[in-house]
Amino acid sequence: MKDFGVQSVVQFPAGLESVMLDLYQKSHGEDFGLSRDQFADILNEVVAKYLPLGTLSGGTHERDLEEFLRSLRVEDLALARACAIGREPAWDIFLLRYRGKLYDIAAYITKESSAARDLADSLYGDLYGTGSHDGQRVSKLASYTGRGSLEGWLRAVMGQEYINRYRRQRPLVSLEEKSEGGTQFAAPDPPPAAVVDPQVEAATAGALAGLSAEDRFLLASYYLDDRTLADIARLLGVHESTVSRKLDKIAKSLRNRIVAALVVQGMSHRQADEAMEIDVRDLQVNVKSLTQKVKAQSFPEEEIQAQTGDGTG
Amino acid sequence: MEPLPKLVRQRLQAAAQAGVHPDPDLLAGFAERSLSERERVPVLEHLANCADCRQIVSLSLPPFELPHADAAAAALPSHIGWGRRPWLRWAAAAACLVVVGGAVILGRHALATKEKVVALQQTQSQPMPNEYSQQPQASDQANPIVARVEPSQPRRGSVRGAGSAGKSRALDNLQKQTAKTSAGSGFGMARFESQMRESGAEPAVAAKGAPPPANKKLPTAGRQLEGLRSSQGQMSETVQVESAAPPVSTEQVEVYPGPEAKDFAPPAAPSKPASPNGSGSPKGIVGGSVIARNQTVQIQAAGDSIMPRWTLSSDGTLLLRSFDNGKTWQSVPVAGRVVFRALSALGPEVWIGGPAGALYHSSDSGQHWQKVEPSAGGRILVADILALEFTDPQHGKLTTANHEIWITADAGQSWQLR
Repeated sequence: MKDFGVQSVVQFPAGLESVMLDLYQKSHGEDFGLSRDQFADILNEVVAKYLPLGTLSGGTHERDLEEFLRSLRVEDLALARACAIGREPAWDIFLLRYRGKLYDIAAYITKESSAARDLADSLYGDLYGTGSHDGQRVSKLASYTGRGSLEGWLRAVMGQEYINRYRRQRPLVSLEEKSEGGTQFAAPDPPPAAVVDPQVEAATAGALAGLSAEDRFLLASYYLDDRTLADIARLLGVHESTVSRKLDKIAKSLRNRIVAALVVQGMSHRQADEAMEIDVRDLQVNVKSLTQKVKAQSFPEEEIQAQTGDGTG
Repeated sequence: MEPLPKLVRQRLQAAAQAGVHPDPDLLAGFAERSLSERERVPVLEHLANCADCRQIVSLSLPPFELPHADAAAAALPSHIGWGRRPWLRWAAAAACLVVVGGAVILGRHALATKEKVVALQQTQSQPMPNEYSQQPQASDQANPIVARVEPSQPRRGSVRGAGSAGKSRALDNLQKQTAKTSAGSGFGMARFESQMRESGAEPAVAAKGAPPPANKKLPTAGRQLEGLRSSQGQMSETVQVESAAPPVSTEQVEVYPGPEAKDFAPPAAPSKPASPNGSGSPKGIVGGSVIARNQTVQIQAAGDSIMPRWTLSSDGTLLLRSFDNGKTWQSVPVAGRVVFRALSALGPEVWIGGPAGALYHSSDSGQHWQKVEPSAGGRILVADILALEFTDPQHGKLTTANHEIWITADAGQSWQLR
């Protein structure tokens, strides 16, 4: 069955044929209603998407290919793809395993029961495939590739949908906040123009560019997103204390680097410290508004709390 | 934690670029640490700059350590989990001993009291009231004198026993009473609550606001069955749009086979399409069989499972309806290729809104639709509708992308612009 856009049945290289068969058995594809050929088609599609040379008959070393294939969650992949093409046995199992979890995930994301139900129902409709393209059912499950677990994928998709939904309704939130702000609080003074020493800004940009992606991710997660050390540690697979030490180290080294860059540009140490302090005072207002703007894109509750805070940023 | 210079924070934020977002597979793979190093680095690079993707990755992680089955247990009020803590079990055992010991002591005291009363009765030689036994035996309904004495005793059945039979009856009554008060929270909890009562304190109350167990039906917020009242409107134009929505019947409902769907198997009686008269009769019953009024009331009282649930697909192109509490869905055609963003459903009353003031209303659970064009003071609604909220079939409001709020108090016949 040509459900995945692949033009022909793939012949696995001889060395990988046994791997494919082994994976097919592990995937329980037959129980879900997937044939071996269909399963091979799926694997080829996933390989084409993620590996540089794209095809099993290409130049990718067989060992790399095998390692990649074995890293896939083949059972989840077979289940999802079988559901996507409407295999009833697969749907039986999907319902059994994931229907309750969909609502749990939605409740965890939205923290509110009716919104959770709406979100889960909407995603469930997309997963089932109530839309159609050229007469064929279009299911979101057809895009699952088994790189992570199916449950994790469902979480990511639902998180994406939640963020998109919130974005669409964001003007509504702004309106309510404005009306509440007008009755409870005096309108804030417009922020003064930020006075940023170009030298300081350049030194800061240079210092940040010198950080690794992981370091910048840590800084952004902790200082911009206000994530807890525990959450960050879980994401990176390290201990919470490791994250804490790293953040301390990064923040200190950043400050030292900026000061060092300013000193190189001719400032004294004291002048460099003062330059950062001056900019800090001026930027507090801007940072607060910028931070609120960023936070509004994630949590409306946080935006309301930010506005009702003591204004110290 | 070392504070981050504000300038650095601002710079970090300013560096955020949208770019090409990784697909959910990669984000989930990153969260689960199943990506190779070669793939992980570019994802990390993107995450350092993209707050949305950081948020998605964070949401991709399951709640800390709880699998699905345990989430339901953990969602229960915290006091029910007390038995899992060993020290609480020992405390409960000690409490039980105190309660039993107290019951025994009280029983003996009551027995001694009754013996005194009996002795007093014998000396007084007065005729007994008819409703009481002539036998000078201490029993539950023995004697007005006993009845007068009893209220001064704790109200447990323990005081009504006599001799050894009374003691065992006392324990039985105590257990029965505590079993009644436990309300399914377990024998241990019943003991704990009985101890609380003995001491005069209030028994533990289930935590209000605790999330329901995962497998419990979530209540349908704000949905009530009310009849539709007709009213004449003036300030909005209503265009009748006959939709090709399929009638309610078992044959046209896509049923997903599964254990949950089986629990909701339609009745064997042949289906009868529900009347689209908006009378408030239960519509959308899977199977649509003819149901007597008293049965209808019972079914409605049993929950909102017969009322349709509504949702929009993630891209807004499809309006979806379910008559079995979300187990199966069918798409309901409304109007061409409009991308709807707002939905409000209250019983059979359904409102959907979309771009350029597209507003549609059905009063019969989607069988028929009317296009509504709100106007107020000569001004017609043309903005994108972002939200709809109806508290009852008559009163509702819609919010637009340009921050307008339109309010109706007559089911959309007339509107006011706030």
